Amino acid sequence: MATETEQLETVDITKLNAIAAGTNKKVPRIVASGFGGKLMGTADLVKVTAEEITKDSMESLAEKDAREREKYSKIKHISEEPWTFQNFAQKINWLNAVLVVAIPCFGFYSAIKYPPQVKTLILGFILYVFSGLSITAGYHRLYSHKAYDAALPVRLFFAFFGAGAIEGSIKWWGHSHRVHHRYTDTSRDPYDARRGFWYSHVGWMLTKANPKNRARADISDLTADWVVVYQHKHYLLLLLLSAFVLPTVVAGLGWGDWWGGFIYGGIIKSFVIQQVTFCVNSLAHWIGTQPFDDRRTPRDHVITAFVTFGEGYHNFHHEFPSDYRNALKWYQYDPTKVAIWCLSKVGLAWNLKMFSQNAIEQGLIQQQQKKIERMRKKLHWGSKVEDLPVWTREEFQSRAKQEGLIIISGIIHNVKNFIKEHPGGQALVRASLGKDATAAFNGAVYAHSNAAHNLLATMRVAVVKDGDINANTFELQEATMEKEKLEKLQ
Amino acid sequence: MDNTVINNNGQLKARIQKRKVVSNNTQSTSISNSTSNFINQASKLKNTRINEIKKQKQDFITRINYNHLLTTVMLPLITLVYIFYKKESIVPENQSTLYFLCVYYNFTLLSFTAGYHKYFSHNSFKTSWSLLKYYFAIFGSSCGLGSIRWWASLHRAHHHFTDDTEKDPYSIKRGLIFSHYGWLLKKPKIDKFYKDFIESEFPLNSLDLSDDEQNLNHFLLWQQKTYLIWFFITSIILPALITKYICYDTFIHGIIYPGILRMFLCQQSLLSTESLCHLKKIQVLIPTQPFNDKNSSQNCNNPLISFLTYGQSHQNYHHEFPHDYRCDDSYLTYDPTKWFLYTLEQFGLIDEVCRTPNNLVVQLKLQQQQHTINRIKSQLNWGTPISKLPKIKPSDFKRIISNSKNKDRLYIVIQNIIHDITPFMDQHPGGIQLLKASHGKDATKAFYGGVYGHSTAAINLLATMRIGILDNGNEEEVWKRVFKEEGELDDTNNSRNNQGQQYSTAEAA
Repeated sequence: MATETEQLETVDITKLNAIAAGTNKKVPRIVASGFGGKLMGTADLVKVTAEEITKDSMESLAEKDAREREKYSKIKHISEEPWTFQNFAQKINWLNAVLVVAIPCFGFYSAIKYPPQVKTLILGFILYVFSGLSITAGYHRLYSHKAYDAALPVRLFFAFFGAGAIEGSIKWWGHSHRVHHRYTDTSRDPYDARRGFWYSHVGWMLTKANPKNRARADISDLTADWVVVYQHKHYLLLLLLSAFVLPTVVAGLGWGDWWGGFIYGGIIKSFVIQQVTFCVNSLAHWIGTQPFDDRRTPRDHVITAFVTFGEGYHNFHHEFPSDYRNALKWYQYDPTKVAIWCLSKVGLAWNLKMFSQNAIEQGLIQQQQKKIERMRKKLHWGSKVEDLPVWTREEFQSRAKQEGLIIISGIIHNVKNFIKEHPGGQALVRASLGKDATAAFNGAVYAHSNAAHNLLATMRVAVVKDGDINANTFELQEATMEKEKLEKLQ
Repeated sequence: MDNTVINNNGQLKARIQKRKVVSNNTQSTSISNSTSNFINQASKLKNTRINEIKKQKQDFITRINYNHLLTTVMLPLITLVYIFYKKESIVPENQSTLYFLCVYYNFTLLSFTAGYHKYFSHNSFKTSWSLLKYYFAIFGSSCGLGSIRWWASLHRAHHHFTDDTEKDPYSIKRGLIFSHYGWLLKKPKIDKFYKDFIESEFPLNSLDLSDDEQNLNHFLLWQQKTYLIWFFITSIILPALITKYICYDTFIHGIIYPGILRMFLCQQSLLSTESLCHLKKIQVLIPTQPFNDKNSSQNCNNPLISFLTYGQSHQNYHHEFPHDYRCDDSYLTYDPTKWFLYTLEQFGLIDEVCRTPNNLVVQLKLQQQQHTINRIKSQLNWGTPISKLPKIKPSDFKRIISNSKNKDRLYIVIQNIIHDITPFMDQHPGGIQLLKASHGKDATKAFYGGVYGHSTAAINLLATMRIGILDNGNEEEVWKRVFKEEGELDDTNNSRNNQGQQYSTAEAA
């Protein structure tokens, strides 16, 4: 063993976790003013220290379960109790319920009474695209994943129209999204897809979270941006302005449709964007293919992509999170990618991050290999030569005609059921029953295909114990190998 | 003249001069000789070339296959000219002629695909019902692609020597036009080879054969002899008569539509399987090779091509499992021949129908997929193999880190392997801070779950950044890993061979 001095220092995982959680340094706390601070916030989720995370991730699952069972055997958090008539009011996060369910309900109720004007619908659609792109290109790829850098006007645009999507401030959204990527498919994942479609869609937001699943991620780079800080501080104001006041005023002053602007340009537009973004958490972990890695739930699907401005290639995204693209192929639908690319051409975005094509193809290939291995196990490839019993020639001769046996290259095959299916006709097989058909099989009569060899392997019965033949072939092989060696040397 | 001057100057010079002159002379003579040689050779070449061209001209006339020229080019051409000249419509205007055309098209094409192709070339099934044989032989000849004996053995040659420029009768390597039409019109150069091939495929006086097979071969010989008669009866006389007396149309319409245009359509369907379905380049056909990419046969997934080729567009499958009565393992494929044969089997008219077991099809598909994966794998950068990395002592490593030249670089040790993370620094999704905090340290636990359980993609990326092994005396673990990883790599590289091993033991003997 090496001496102490030669041993390399190991990283302090607690310290690293502190960095990853952002608790290693004192960051001035940014609090949103007034009521807005609580909007979409789920404070229960973040009050955790790096020590706890480290302890948690380093201990085995069994230990963890035991500890938690002990800890929560006496006191139960409200989220762990079953739903009853008495406590359902306590389990629900009412603020979010109002924002995500109640207001849209009111919107739809009014929409039934008040048919839309075409102009208002167009305005609503434009705002929908603006807010949607702000969420995907801004909140998600720019702020959560730092996939590129953007100029100030772009960031202001994202902050303003992103607020109009009513999905929380950049600070809160980015934080929970980073936690989601760090703890995908674990209990710490705020939108844990293992708990079902509806939980990951809206359930996580409407119910109170369990504090034992708290997790953190470092967002010091977000809080260093004054746009993010400003948006968080004045979130409520921005939300009202962007989501409701702007469409109402534009529609009202433009063509006198105040109420329509409020309902279609405001409420219903926000509802659609909310649902669309939630689809990334639910639908993208629910339907589709897994071309890169199937250990976790994220999936690629074109429907998800169409719904979510191109965020549907989620399997790729979870493997290569800081890539500014989500769709790789030209025919895949990813308008966000195109938008970012266009911004970079105008000079408003730069430093677009891309993972190397090598790494991407490696992932694809490994996953394909996995699938092939899985398929291969399902198929019948015939027993291995090592596992076959050894028969003597006499035994073979005595049973050959009766059972339909043939020797091919020292292995006895039972071809009885196959005689009728033999493409070259029954006669050939019948003629070689009880004989050594090696030469005929390998080319004297017909050089069989790969498929034929595969088929033959499934019919193996035993190995012939035949001193002469085995010794001969062995010696022959030895001789040819030596020849090859000599040739190589020369 | 020269010599006199030389004599004045003295002997030595004269000798030299003489030598020069002589040498000059010899040179000039050699040149003249060589020029004359050249001229001779050139004239010889010219003569031979002229002879060749003459011969080719003669050949051109003798090497044309007039039977096929008539059936595949002249008759359709004359008909088309007639149609345009008389301003007839290209589709029969008489409703019942149209119906008859459709029925007769399927009727004759089925006799060709099921009879010529599946029964006589590939022995896909057996029939005891001799009427079926006559149906195949008589109506199959209405497609005008030759007699069974000739076509079936050429088709067998095509399967046996696929892509061979000499022996494959319709090799795609000789161009699309040749594989589509040319092979029909031009008699092959190795005429004798094919004649022998036909004799060996359908021998007439062989003792090995059973009586049934003898009878069949003689039946084929009879069909070959009477082929042209049957051709004229089935593609001209019969349709004309039926059109006249059953569809109440004219004789000439019977000859044009169900006769010659139908024959032309049948021919195109059959010929395009050997030409279009062997083309890799035309992406409109959506060609794939799921079973074997070692020959030119393609599975054309374009449904239109499938329709055009009468369901025979899955050539890659067919080339791997030629005996199968189907053209694809899927139930949904458009394949009228398959439906026809299946129906016949249900009625008990044919038996011993050859079906490839599903297991086999999937096996071959997997082997092919593995093959392509291995090819792509070998083209990718998987990082320096561990066994080829330099050993670096911890003290040396520390010196490298503290070196002022490497101030801006990041080194992280994971599983005793030193990685230079510098190129990846800014891309790290978890942020640069974490990397900086683990600079020069062993971060194995943090990488594998202590902080974040990294994805396979991350592990791959890490491997590309290897620069050395940390030599801390614990070699066993490193070599275990070498064995594990590179063993795997070798496995994947040689997996085709390993696949082979299952039966290469069989082949070895």
